[in-house]
Amino acid sequence: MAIGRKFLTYGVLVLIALYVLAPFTWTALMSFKYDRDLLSIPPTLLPDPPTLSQYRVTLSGNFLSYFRNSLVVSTTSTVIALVLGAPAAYGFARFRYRLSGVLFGVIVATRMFPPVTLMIPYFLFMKSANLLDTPWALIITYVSIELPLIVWILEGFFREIPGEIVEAAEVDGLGPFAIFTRIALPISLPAVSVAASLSFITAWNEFIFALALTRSPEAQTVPVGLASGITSVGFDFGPVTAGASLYVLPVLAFTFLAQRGLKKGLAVGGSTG
Amino acid sequence: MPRSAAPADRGRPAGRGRRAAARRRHATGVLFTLPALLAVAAIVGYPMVYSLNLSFRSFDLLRPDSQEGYVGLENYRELADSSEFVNALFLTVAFVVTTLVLEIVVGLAIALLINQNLRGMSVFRLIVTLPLMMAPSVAGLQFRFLFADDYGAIDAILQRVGVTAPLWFVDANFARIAILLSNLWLATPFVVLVFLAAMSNLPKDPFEAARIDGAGSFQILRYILLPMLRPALLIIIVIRMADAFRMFDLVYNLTGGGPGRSTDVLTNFIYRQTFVRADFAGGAAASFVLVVLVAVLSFVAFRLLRTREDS
Repeated sequence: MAIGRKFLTYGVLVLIALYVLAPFTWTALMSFKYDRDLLSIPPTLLPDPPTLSQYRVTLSGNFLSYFRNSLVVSTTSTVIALVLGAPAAYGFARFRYRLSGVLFGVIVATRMFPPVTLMIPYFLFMKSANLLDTPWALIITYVSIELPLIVWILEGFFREIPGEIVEAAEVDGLGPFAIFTRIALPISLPAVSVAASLSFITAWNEFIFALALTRSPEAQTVPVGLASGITSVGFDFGPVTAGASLYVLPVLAFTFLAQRGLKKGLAVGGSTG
Repeated sequence: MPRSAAPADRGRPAGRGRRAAARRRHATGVLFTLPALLAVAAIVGYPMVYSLNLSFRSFDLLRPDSQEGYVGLENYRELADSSEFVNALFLTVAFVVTTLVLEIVVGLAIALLINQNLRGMSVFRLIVTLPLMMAPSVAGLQFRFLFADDYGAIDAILQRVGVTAPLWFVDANFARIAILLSNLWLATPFVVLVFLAAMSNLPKDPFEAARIDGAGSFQILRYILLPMLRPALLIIIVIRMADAFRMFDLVYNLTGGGPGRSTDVLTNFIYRQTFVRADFAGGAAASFVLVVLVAVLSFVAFRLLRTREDS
């Protein structure tokens, strides 16, 4: 390949990489600055000197409560969605019955609905059930987003389990449920962990239900807590930059570590779509 | 979706035993899938029907259980008469079309660059896909810090080189550009990954044959690569279109729909109509306009792009 074209490729890719990294980097830089550096016009580019004062303010405020709620809501809803979704994916993959294809399609198609449509009935239901502003309001509603995702991903993986393995187990006298828990689930553990991680991150990132259904730090999750920090009166965005940096760190680490798994999940998701 | 026949049926005795076995298998399938189906019916199906019904009624938040107040299409008629709704509808469609074109062009370009057999491409692939799992709401905050007047990074850099930065959140068109650029940042990783996965499965021969026949790079792209990427393109369009129509978090945190109503997409309109104006029936009606729009356009995209063999 011509040298010029090679340089052009690298040049363009470096520019793109800078663009991708800019939001993380700038927010992280801001989070290590003193207020006077944040508010000077124009702002200093680098923290001079760096400080942890924004993190101290963040961690002494409501952030830990938001963080705990995010963890509890994402974990609990993912566990529920897995308990319901994994057997369903297995059933759709290995035991066809009349309408099973259609029903699988219906479950997967709910992914296309804009969440804003469900937000309105959810608010009214949670209000009449006295669940508004509790973590349960989010746990229940998040299952509605996670379940189709899990069924969609796992169905593809369960279909790939070689028939010989299942037949051998049947000859040994194992029933369908035992085959599922003792054979299908263990050998699909990598796929199950990909599905669980994607489900967890979906809940971790969810915004509009949390905005509509919670309003106090006892129930709010990090995305809504951060947004209320920036939209409330005053320019208190120093702690918001610190909170945002803490919040994206686990997601970035996961994206970094799970490159292979993600690619596989995408490929399967694509082939069943 | 091609599916192989259930392998466990092989080698069973023919006749009644086989039919009984098939019935057992069907019952097992129902048993495995029933809990999830009931859950979806309860937390997706029922709320959707409830909300659809709500959109044909007049609704008072203080008396949510009152069953009277069927008003037919009145809520929808009010939407059609509302310039605010029509503005939001128009902005949403314009946003979806613009962002899809941008995402696909930029995503394909990046995938083509990374797909070259050059050193260090895996590093670039890793960096480019970093925003894949990012919360759109937090991305909205981060881009707000970048674009902000006075304290933003773009302002800081431009001022140092003596250029006056645009007032991103005062000028309607710059606010729209800010949203498109932020959304591009969020959406492109998915597009790149789907294109790269499709490219890794392509046969080499047609490209070599075309090159031997003297085809230029653009001709190869237009007549060989793009037709082969059609299935990938279909996945990207259907999934990304639904995502773009539902986009809310980013706008809420980046511009809040402003300045004025210049970035007021449908989801933002629905949120305001429901929770600021407490017009739940109107919000429900607007949300079903959105559902129908997404459903119809997804179907059209599907029909237009489906390859012959699939039909």
